[in-house]
Amino acid sequence: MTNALLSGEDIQPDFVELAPENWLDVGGTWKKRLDQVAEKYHILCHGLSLSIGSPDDLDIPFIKKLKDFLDEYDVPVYSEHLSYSKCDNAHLYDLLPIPFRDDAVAHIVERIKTVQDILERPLVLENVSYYTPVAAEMSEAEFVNRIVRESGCQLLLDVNNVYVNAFNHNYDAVEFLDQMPLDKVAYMHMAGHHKVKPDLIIDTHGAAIIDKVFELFDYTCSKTTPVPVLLERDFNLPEMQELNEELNTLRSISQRHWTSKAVSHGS
Amino acid sequence: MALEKTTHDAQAALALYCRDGELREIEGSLEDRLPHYRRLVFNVVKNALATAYPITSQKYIPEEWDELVFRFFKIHPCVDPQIWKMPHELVGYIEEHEKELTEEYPAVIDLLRFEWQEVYLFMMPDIAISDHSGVCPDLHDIPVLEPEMQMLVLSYPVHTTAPSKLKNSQVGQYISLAWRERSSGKVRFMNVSTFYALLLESLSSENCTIEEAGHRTAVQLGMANADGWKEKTREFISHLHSKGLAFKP
Repeated sequence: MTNALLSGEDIQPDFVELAPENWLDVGGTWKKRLDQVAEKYHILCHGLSLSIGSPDDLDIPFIKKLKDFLDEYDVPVYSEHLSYSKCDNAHLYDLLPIPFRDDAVAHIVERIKTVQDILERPLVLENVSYYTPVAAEMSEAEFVNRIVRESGCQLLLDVNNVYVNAFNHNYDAVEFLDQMPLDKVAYMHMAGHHKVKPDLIIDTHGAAIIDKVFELFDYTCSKTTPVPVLLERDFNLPEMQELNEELNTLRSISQRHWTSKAVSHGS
Repeated sequence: MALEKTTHDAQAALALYCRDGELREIEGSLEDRLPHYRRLVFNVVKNALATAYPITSQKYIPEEWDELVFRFFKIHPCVDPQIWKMPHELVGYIEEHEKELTEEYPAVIDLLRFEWQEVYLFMMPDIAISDHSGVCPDLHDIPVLEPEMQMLVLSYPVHTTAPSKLKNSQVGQYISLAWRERSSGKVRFMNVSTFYALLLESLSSENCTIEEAGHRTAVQLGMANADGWKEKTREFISHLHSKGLAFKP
C-alpha cells in the first residue's frame, strides 16, 4: 500500500489516515516509509487504544507520547472511537460498546476534556458500530449527542456504522442521521461491511462500499459542510485502481453538495 | 466522575467475557451477539502473536498454539496500548504460568526471546551512530560501535538450529548478536563466543581501547596467551567492521 501511495500512479488520495499506536516508537524501514508518505500527503490520525469509555483511569503517559507524535507530523485531525478497549487494566485491542447511561456520559465528558487539554487539540470521536447494547438507559442518538454537546468534542461520522447499526438494531438510518449533531461533524468515514447472518452485519472494512451506504453518504453530505472523508479498507485489498474509483465516487457525491468549498478524500 | 456499579460491572463483564470466552450475565445485552465480540477480540490477539512469533507458533500444532493463546489472554492482562508491542508479554507469561509447556520443550523461552528480538530491532526507534571515519579501528582505538545492536544470551542454540532439531541435551550458553542494518533496515544475526560477547560488552560500557577491552576479557576468562587474544580480537573487530558495526572514530 505504501508503494502505491508513494508512486501515486494508481491511487490519488488527498490525505492518508493512520493509527498512531502502530507508529509510535517505530524506527528503521517503517519510519522511513512514514516520513516519505508524510512528505507527500497530509497525515490524519485515528487512534485505537485511548479507550475513552473505559472504567479505568486514562493512560496519561500514553496520551503525552501521542501528543508528541501528532506534533511531529503536524496532524490536523486526531480522532478516536466512542467505545472502550481496556478494562480492569487489560487491553482488548478492539472496540467494545459503552453502556448508554447518564453516569457514562458524565464520566466520558470529563475524560474528553482531560485528553483535549493534554493534546492541545480537539478530540474527534467516532460513532462506532455495535452488535449489542449493554445496560442501556438511553438511545444511541441521545448518548452521542450528549457526549458531543457536553464535552465540546467533535464528531467523526462513520456513515457505514450508521447503516450497520440501523440494520442490526432495527432503526431508520436517515432518522438517526437527522438526530446527530451534524454541525459538529469534523470528519467522515466510509467503508464496506459483511453480512454474517440475516439479521447481523459486522463492520469489517473488508469489502467495497454498498450502494445503500453511498445513498446514506449522499444524504449526509446534503446536511453537512465540507469535511475530510476517508475510505477505509483494512483487508481483502482490491487493485488500487478499484479503490481509486471508490474514492472518486465519494468525491463526486460530496462535491455535488459541497461545490465551491474545500473537500478532501483520503485512504 | 466515578461510574455507577451497574455500569462498571456491565463493562467489566463484557471485557472479561472477551478474554475468557465464558458467557456470563451482561445486563441488557443480546446474548447471541456477544460471541462476535469474543471472536473479534481473540482473533486480533491471535494474529498479533502469530505475526510476532512465526517460528514458535509453527512449532506447535494449531490446536496447541490456540490453547496457549487462549490461556495467555485469559490469565494475563495485556498492559501495552500498542498491539505490536503486546507479543513481548507472552514471554513473561509463559515463564510464570506455563511450567508444563517449558518442561516439555525447554527451548521455547529462548525461541520466543529470539523472535521478539528480531521484531523489536526491526521496529525500534532510530538511534544515531556517533561520527566516525568509516575505516576499521585498530587495537589502540576506542571504536565507534553501532548502537542499533543487541546481544542475547541463550540456553539453547535457537539462532543456529531449526526448532525441530533442538535437543534438550544442548542446554548450555549461546550468544546471538543481532543488529539492524542501516542500509536495508533488515535485522541480521551472528553467533558470537563468550570471549567476543564480553569484549563487546566491555567496549560498550567502559570507554576503553580495543586492546584494553581485549586484555580485560582475556584476564577475565583466564587466557594466558597474549598473542592469541590479540589475534582473535583483531579478527573479530575486522568482522564487525565488515558488517558496519565498528569503526575508527
